[in-house]
Amino acid sequence: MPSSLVDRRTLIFGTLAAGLLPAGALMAQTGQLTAREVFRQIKAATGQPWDPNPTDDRIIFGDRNVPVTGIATCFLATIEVLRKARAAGLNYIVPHEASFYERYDDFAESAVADDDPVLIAKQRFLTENGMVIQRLHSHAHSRPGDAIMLGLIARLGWTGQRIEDLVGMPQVRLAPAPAREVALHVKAALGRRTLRVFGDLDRTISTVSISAGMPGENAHIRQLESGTDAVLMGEVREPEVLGYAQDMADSRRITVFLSGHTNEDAGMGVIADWLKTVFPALPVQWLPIVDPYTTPA
Amino acid sequence: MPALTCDDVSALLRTELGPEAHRHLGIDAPAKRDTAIPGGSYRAPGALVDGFRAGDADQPVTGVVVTARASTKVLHRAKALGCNMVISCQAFLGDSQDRPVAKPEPALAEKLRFIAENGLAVLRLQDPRLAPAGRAITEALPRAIGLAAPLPGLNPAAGLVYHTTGQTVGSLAARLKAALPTAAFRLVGNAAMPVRGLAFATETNRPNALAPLLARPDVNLLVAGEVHETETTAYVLDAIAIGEKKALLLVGSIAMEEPAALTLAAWLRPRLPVPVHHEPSPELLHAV
Repeated sequence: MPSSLVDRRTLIFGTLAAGLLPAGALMAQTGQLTAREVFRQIKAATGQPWDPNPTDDRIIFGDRNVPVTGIATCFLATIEVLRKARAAGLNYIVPHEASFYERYDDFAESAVADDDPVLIAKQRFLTENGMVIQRLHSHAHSRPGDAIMLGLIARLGWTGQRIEDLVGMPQVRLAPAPAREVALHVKAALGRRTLRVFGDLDRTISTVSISAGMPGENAHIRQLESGTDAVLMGEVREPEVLGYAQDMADSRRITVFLSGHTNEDAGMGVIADWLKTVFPALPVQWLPIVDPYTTPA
Repeated sequence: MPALTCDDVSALLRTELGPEAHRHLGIDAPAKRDTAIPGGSYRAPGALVDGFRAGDADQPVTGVVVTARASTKVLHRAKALGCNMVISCQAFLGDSQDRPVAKPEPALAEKLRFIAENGLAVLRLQDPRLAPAGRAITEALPRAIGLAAPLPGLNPAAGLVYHTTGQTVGSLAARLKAALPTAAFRLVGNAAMPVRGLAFATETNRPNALAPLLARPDVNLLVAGEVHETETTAYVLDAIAIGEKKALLLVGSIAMEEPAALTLAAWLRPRLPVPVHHEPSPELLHAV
């Protein structure tokens, strides 16, 4: 690049990248932290080695040099959530999941066309509002205790009932109750408009194995075989996991609560609480998602 | 005359139902990070699934049971009916392609033991196929709710599209509920929305990348067994948010295969010298 084309900001960032200035000096001209610096501080604050793969915890979209006005955490950066963020004056968006309808936000792998009107509208909204999306998936799960799981169990009100963990899938012991009663509690606690349940609703259950999101059918089957009365899962592949429950139910009793991938939502509230401690001078807010599903009459 | 074997039945099906409709033409390399989620929740877009997945296909066939999913209960029924060949539309061995499992978990081990001890052979048959009889099986669900023929020229492995008038999402959902053994539909969108065009995802045991079906300008309702919630559900939420009149109806991947299993059993029955039964495989979900 010819030196005459290097503007002041480019020069500053080039110098900083070379490690010649303290990180705290990484400010936009407005005096606010840039997206690049916010991301750097988040990575540092995790205290973990940062590996963007395999779930792509990186800045997915937006200008890294934009001044950050505030941080919104969420499960999915839907357009609805982005509108709420804009209304709250927050332009650094930290979703748990992908934002552009492909699991790694990989446009080369995506089945959605580049000129898809929904995709274009979302990108335009982000650009027009100076927003940046930085995904936080693996490094949310690898926070001490798994922030996503902590949020889910707290939301269920079961934190004090934990008895043990099975490879990242905690178990709780509840007061014995009919499965239907526990299902209604799960539905209300997680703000679901519909909840699918496998098994006898009148059966009394006490122990429940819990998983968040979609850890894959191998993990789900381990959960089903963990010896608990019931399992609570997020999203499952139905022939594999629900199918296994059907086969299992041929000789043993099991109850399955399918609470949807959005059961990870409350965990991003835990992430927001943590980010408030990292950025005490910035507004930080968790923007919950509404259950996408209803049951048609 | 040599006895008819299970493999002979499979050969008849392959011939009469036609070749598989490949979703992607050409070479289908595995997606870049296809194995990132242990257990293979995602699989390569072009992967086909049909074939014998358990048992000895060379044995003489005594009778055939056709089912949406060969659950352990269905296998017991097959034995009771004296049928040693089971045709399963959906996956039945623990992953979407019914690949061998190195260390089968207890319920799967029990199932495999039952198959071996009782001399059953299980054929997976789900890939959409291109001959008229194959198309009739792929189109069984739309036909069950009164839709005659899909738009011509589309690859049935990518989906089926129908144009409709006078229907709402809710009225179509009611018809689908009557046709499928499930009580647990999930809807994203407005039940009162008039439906101009609806698409059926035909391969929803591999449910990634369904958004393009709903992105079509002539489609405003997508019916699928299940989807990847962070992809297709997210797309529909955003489409609705920008004012598009779109909806997504999830009917269950096992339940969705029931009309196909019924149609296949009815087609096969007069063509074989042995009994052919359809056994229901209800998913047993409640909506609370």
